[in-house]
Amino acid sequence: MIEKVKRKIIEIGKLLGKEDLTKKGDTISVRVGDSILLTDPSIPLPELTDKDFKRVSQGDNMSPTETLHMAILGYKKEGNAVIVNQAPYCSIVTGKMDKLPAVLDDFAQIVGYSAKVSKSDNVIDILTALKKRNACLIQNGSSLAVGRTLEEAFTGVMVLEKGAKAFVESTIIGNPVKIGLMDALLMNFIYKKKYSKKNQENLLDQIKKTEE
Amino acid sequence: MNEIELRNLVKESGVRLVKEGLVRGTWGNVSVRFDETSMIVTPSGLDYLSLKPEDMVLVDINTLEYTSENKPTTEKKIHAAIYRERPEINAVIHTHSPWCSSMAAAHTEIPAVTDEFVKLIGGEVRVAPYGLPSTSKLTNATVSAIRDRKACLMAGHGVLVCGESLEEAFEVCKMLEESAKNFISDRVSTILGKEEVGLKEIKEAFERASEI
Repeated sequence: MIEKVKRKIIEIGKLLGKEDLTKKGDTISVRVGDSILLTDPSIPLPELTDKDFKRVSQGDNMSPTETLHMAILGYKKEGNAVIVNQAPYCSIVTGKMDKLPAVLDDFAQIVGYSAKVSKSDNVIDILTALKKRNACLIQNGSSLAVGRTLEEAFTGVMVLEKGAKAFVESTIIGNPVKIGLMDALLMNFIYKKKYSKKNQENLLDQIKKTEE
Repeated sequence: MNEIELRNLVKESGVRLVKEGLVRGTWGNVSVRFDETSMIVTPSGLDYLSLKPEDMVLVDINTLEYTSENKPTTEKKIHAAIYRERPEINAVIHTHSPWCSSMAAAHTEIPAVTDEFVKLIGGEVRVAPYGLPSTSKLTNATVSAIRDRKACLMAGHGVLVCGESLEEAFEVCKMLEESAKNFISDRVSTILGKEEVGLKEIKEAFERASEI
C-alpha cells in the first residue's frame, strides 16, 4: 500500500511540474494510519523517486516542514493529503493581500468564499488561516491545499491558482466581482456532500484505514 | 454522421480542448447535435483524456432525458436550450479557459476589435449575469447573452461558444482566448507604459491597480 501511495505522489509531483505549479522546496504529505508519508523538500516534486520519502509519526524528532504537515493533518481530521507549493499567480497575491476572494464559482465551490493569507510560515499562523477552510496562501509566496484525497488536494491547488489568476487580472481590468457569500457557502456545502460519497471508493481513503 | 462517428468526434474534441489549454481536468463540456430532438454530450465529472466514445451521453433536448449509466454534463440545460432556439447550431462548447475566465471574473465584455472577430463571432462578446451552476437563471441568462452571437462569457464562471460545426466552435474558442489575452495585456501595457507583457509586468500592474 505504501508503494502505491508513493507512486500516486510521484504522479501528482509530475503533474504539478507540467502545470508550472511548483518550485524547489515544495512538499506533499499523505496520512497513512497514525503516521504521515512526506516528500523530501530538497527534491523538486517533478523529480521525486520512491527513495525520496520519509515516514513520520507522533513523538518523532521532526523538522519544521514535518511538524507543519503533521500539525495540519492533526488539525484537519477529515483531510488525508496536503500539498504545499509555489504557484505564479498565488505568489503575486500573497505579497499584496490578506485574503484571496472567490471571483470564480469553482473556487467558491472547492476552496470556499475566500482563501486567507497566513502572515507567516509559522504553524499556528497557518492553522489559523486554515480555520473553516481547506486551502490557504502563505505570505512567503507559497500556497497550501488539504484534501480528503491526494486528488482533491491537487484540485485545490489548481483551483487556487486559477482563482488567483482571475483575481489578479480582473483587478488589472478594474473590476473583480466577488461571488456572493450565500452562493459560495451553498456551493461549498454541495461540493463537500457530493464528493464525500465518491471518495468512499478512493484508494487513498482506503489507505487511511489500513494499518501497515 | 452516424451516432458512433459523432460520439468519436465529441471524445476527440474533449482531448483537443485539453491539449490546446482551453480546458483542464474535468472542467468544461462539449456537445453536438445528433438530430432534431437530441444531442450527444460529454459526461459529468470524467477526465477528457480517459473518456471513451461510449461514455458520451445521448440526451433529448426537449425533456433532457437520457438512458446511459453516465450522467450528462450538469450544464446540459444550456446546451439543449441553444439547440432548441437556434436550428443552425450543431455544436456547443463550454470552457473555463484561463484568459476568458479572468474577463468573466471581471464581468467585462470582450470587444470586437477586428473584422475577422465580427465575421466569426457576430460582435462584442456579452456577459451573462451570474447564476448558480445548473439553474434556470443561469440557463436563461446565457441563452440571452449568446443570442445573435457565437459566444458569451458567463459571469464568475467561464465561457460558452457555439458553431454550425465543432470546427467552427473551436475557432471561436481560440479567437476568444487570444482576444481576452490581448485585452488584458493591452491594459497591462497601458498601466505600465511598456510593450512587453509577462508575469513580472502582470505582477507590477496588479500592484499598481490594487493601490487605486
